[in-house]
Amino acid sequence: MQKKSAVKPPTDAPDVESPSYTTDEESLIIRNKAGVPVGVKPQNTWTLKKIVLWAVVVLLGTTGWAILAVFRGEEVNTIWFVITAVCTYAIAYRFYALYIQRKIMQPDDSNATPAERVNNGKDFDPTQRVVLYGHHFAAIAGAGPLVGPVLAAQMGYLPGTLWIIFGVLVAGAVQDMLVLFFSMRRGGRSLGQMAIDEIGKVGGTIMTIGVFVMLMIVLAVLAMICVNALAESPWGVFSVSMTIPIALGMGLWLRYVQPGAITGVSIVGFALLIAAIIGGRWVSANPTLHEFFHLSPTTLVWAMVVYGFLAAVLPVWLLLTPRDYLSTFMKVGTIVVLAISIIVVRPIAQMPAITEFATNTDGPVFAGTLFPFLFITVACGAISGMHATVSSGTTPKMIQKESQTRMIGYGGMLMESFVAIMALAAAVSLNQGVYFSMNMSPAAMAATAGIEQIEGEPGTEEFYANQAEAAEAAIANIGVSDVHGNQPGIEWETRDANGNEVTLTGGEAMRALAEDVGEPSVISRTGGAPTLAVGIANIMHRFAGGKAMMGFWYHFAIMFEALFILSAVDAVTRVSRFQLGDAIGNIVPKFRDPSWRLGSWLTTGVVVAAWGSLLLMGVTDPRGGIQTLYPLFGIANQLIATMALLLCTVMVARKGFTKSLWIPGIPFVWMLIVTFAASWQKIFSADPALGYWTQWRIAREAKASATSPEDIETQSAVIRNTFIQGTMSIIFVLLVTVVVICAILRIRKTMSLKDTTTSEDPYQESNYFAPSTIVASSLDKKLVKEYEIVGDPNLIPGRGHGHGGH
Amino acid sequence: MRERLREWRHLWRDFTGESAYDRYVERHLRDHPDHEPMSSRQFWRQRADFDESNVSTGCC
Repeated sequence: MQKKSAVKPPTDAPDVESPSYTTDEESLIIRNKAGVPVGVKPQNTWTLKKIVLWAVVVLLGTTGWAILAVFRGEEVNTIWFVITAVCTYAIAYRFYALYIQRKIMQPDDSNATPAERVNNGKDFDPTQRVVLYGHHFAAIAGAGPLVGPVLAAQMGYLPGTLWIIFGVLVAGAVQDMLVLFFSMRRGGRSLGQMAIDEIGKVGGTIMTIGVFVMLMIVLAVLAMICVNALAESPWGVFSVSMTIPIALGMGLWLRYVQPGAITGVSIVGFALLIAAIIGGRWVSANPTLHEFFHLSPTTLVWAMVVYGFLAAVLPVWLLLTPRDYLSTFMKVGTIVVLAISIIVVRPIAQMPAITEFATNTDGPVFAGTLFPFLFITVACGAISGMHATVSSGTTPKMIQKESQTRMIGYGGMLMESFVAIMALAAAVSLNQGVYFSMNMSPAAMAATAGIEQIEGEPGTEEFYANQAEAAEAAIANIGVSDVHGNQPGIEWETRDANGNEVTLTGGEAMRALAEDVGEPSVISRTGGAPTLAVGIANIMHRFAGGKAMMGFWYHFAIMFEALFILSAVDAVTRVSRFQLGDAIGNIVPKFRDPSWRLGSWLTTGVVVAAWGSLLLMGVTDPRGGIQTLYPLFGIANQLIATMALLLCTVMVARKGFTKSLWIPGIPFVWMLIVTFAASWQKIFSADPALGYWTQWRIAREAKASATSPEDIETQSAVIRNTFIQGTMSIIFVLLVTVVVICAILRIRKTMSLKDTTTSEDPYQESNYFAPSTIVASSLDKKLVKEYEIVGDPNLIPGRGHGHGGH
Repeated sequence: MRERLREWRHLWRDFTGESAYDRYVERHLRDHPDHEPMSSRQFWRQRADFDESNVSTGCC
């Protein structure tokens, strides 16, 4: 170990010399009263090189948009999605984010951040900016940005692309950056606490309750995506269930054998994970094991509920922490795989720019027209309310310098948006017939195919044959056209028994596809995750491994989604349990004590029951859970974003920046319109594809005239589900309305009183230097060197002088 | 080249949180040279106890 470092005073080292600066450089340096550098003044001189560079970026970006949006040829290469997105992000980051920084945030690097002030080596920990960027990105990105764009692909590639790119620039990234900045100025306070401080006790409390209820629906839908991907898939169930013993093993090893050996243990865990994915093929081929891991959706729901409860009450070191390591590895792996598939293989988009489902409500994936439903379907990737909880959680407590907020907050969200664009590209590179066959619920498929129902017992060969036949008939009838304006068909390229390349069509193609990825069937695998997995496998097998590897790539992608959803399920369950305990603690103080076992079991039980019952409702919904519950999830997630943007608007007003109110105000108003329009349609629409209460009424009439016990049971389920969904829609809208009214009253009061008293922490002089851009300039490097000599060694652990290494 | 590799290793160890114990020891020796720091086992136990009530939620 490096014990010598403490004894040896830093100035000892002979090679250490304070760097010298030119007069120009010196004039840019911000120093505190003690003369320690704390920042660099912004410099924006336009050199010829920079002008040429930006001209190229603008030119490329414009070309990209022209190809995607204007020419829309029959053969659009998906690489253009990537080029267009990156150029547009760069322009927005350089110009719009900087504009917001100057108008609203006005970061002051001579002011110490919470990480510098507290610096307790635990949660308040000044973290190298690149590391923090990774942390922040890992915390905000999960299954969401991969799922939403896949579902939105039913409207064609263009609506999703436009919303993902422009939504992130003016809404999502702005929200993340502002919430991060405001929270950082307030010691890392949470969204709920800030709402109470800024909007008032009533509005703030209602907002906290609203966020809690909405989180339950978010969890239920995430869990449903996972269940849909794993149901009747022995390979998937086996490999995902193996993550539990792997994580337990890692946890025990890190606790008792090698504490702190995170990298080594994670690498072993990851290798075991890959082995579990490979081993799944063998499990699926073995008749006994196949039977054992072949689980129905309902069984999986119960497994998930039990798992969620246990994971939330077990110590974190045993399951949660090690699984987070695994899921970070998988996340990096999946994104790399996705990037390779799009950037190296560059597939052609098979989906038209805009389909019929953008303007009618017949879409089989989710019901609703482009406005407003596109904007609630693609949540993460464009804007997500959940990010506001991260931006006001761990990240603001770790940021080194105020001026890094743009890079972490805005830049982190741009990266998530980029992942969403790649997911969209992977989904639209699939054959349209395959895409729709996978994303129609069994009920929608039967209806489109013009049959009563798909005959046979799920899990039998007879059923799968009928299902493939129904898919072929449904695609022949589906109200959508392909890139040439014709009725789409199912097509799949595969190899026959002799290894010759053949292109199969119709039901045969779907059976071959299922076989290629090692599943009994991939028809009606709603939820987005399986579609993306097929998309990735379809592209990746051309890059590595050929057809034989398709099953692996498919289950690799499924594993990522499942692992991440499981992490979200127990982390959110845990946090919600604390919140609930705190809330009940106002009445029964004993519930506040986190070490009271019975209390934590009770609160965990309530939380698990809340999302578990919604999950069960979705999975058993006769009309298909994704179709009915996904809009509610989208609305909930986007309402959290709406409230976060509202909070930003109030805070900008209270800072006295009335002229800049439009910056958070425009996305707030847009999100409010979108969520309320969607809620309005879900509550009042007379279209049975949309309105929950219309569906409820129709089901009641159907039940009254139904004769067979099966029919009565189905209609009873529809009546119950639509009642719950309709009621929740109403509650969400009412809660948000109250918060909006409270906030508007607050803004009016602030403006009339010209009261700009702030809840920011008082200024405290900084004694810390760190660069604010990803790539440090030469001046930054010199200043870092100087800081290592004159600065506080507690702020530069492992990097200051006397660093021994080992 | 070696310098760069070391820098990357640093970043990675900070990212995974693996460097936490070394950083703790370094700081402890500087701030409290009069008594021994916790053993690595004790340190990671204490960190797990802290995480117990400090769970951060991921996203969607």
